[in-house]
Amino acid sequence: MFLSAYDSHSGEIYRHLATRLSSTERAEELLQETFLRAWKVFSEGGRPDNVRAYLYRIATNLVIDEYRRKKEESLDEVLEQTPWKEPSDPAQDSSYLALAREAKDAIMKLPEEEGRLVAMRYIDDMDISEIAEVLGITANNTSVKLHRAVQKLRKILDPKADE
Amino acid sequence: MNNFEKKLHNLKNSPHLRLSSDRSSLIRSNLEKIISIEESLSRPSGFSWRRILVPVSSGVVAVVLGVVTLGAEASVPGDVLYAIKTKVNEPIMGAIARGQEGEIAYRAKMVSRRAAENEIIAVRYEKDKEKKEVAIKMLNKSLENFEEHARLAAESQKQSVAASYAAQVEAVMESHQNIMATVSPKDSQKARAKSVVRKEEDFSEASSGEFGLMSAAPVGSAPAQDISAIEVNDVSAQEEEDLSETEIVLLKIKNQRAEWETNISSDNTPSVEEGAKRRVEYLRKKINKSSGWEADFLKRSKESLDLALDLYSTGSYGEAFNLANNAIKDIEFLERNERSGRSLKVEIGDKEGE
Repeated sequence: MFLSAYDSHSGEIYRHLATRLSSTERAEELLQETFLRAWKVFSEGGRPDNVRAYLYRIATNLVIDEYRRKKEESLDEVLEQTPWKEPSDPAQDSSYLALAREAKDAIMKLPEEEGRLVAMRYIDDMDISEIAEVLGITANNTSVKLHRAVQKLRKILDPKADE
Repeated sequence: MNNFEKKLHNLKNSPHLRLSSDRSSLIRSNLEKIISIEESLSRPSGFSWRRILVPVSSGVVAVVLGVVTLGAEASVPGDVLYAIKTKVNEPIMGAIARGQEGEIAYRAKMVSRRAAENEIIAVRYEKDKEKKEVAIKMLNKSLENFEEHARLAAESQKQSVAASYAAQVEAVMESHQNIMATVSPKDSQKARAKSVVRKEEDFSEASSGEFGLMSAAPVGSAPAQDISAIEVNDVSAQEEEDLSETEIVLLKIKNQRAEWETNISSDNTPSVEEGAKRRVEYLRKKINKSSGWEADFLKRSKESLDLALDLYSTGSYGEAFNLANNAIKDIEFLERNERSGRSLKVEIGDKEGE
């Protein structure tokens, strides 16, 4: 049962982690850690109502820990580490990836909480109520925070739009 | 779709955010391994007569296995239980290692365990050449594995992790050398003498004449090869500057391994006398080539050389070797710092303060 949860959710949890972290390798490590922590709860008889939200919550906490740990590392350093190799899909050419990279760098520049909200909403396609459930805050609060985060992101990604 | 949305859309569909099926399978298989190990180690929860009464025999087996497993931990190559240590206990430790950092930590631990086995054998089985050879081969193998993983880590943006563990392994090996020098001074001296002879061959060729301070070649007649190139075999000073910290440490470990391999395969080890002679000669060359040294440091180095020569002339070859060797290490410490652009004065002060 536990491994079927891995089969169902590992892809999206990884995508969330890879969006939030500077290295895809670290994202893989935290993916494994996410499921190990979830397994410990499962093995002790815990059965979260919403497994997906529960996994996201663990992953989110791991990312927060990671940010705390790397607080002293400069952002430039973190962004430098981001490996963007040649696309494996020829359809996804370099200009396509350049825009993607810009978006990722911009998300990495946001404060941790705002980056998390943007990733959940726009990368993980979670709706407001799901995000609220993962983060343990109200839907209204989530909307407000997300709105602020998106405004900041717009300024970073499209500074001329405001002019 | 505006520019903002397009960028996010591209990111969302970027191949970099997709977990490849082989990586996914690898992580899944890691999880399965860890879960199965942790399940087998976890205690049954809740009370059940069945759990108490039925597996009495299993319990006995488990106790026996536990004792065997623990006993195996103290075994060394050639012991009956050694296979359990290396084929059961250690692979379990390896399976629990998580991520690249876990893996490299595990490999470093294996080096430490193999070094400890060599030390035990040197004490317990002093005359058992076969055991010694197997233990050295095992140690070399563990170093080889460590080097491989450290290199992989360094290549995949974990230079600091790789460097940190490489430094740990280097420290383990240094301490191992010291222990071996204490418990098996004869082997240790021979091994060191041999490696020194190999490293300093070029000097010997360059400096004809008899051994001794009086026969010192003038400063201007330096050998064709740079002194610093001899410390890290086959790597010039310039090349060394281009290497990362991890690579330098790994190279040193590799050289050490090569020396041991040579020791195993050949009985043609030079005498301690020869080793001491070469080492003192090497120290003399270093002093002759000194430039930009603090006056105090130069004075101390010369005193060490004089004393080493005295010891050599009175037949105390081991002591002469050690004295010259320590002086050379100090000099090389300075040279390394000089190459990395740090202040010699500060480093000397730090070192003295230690």
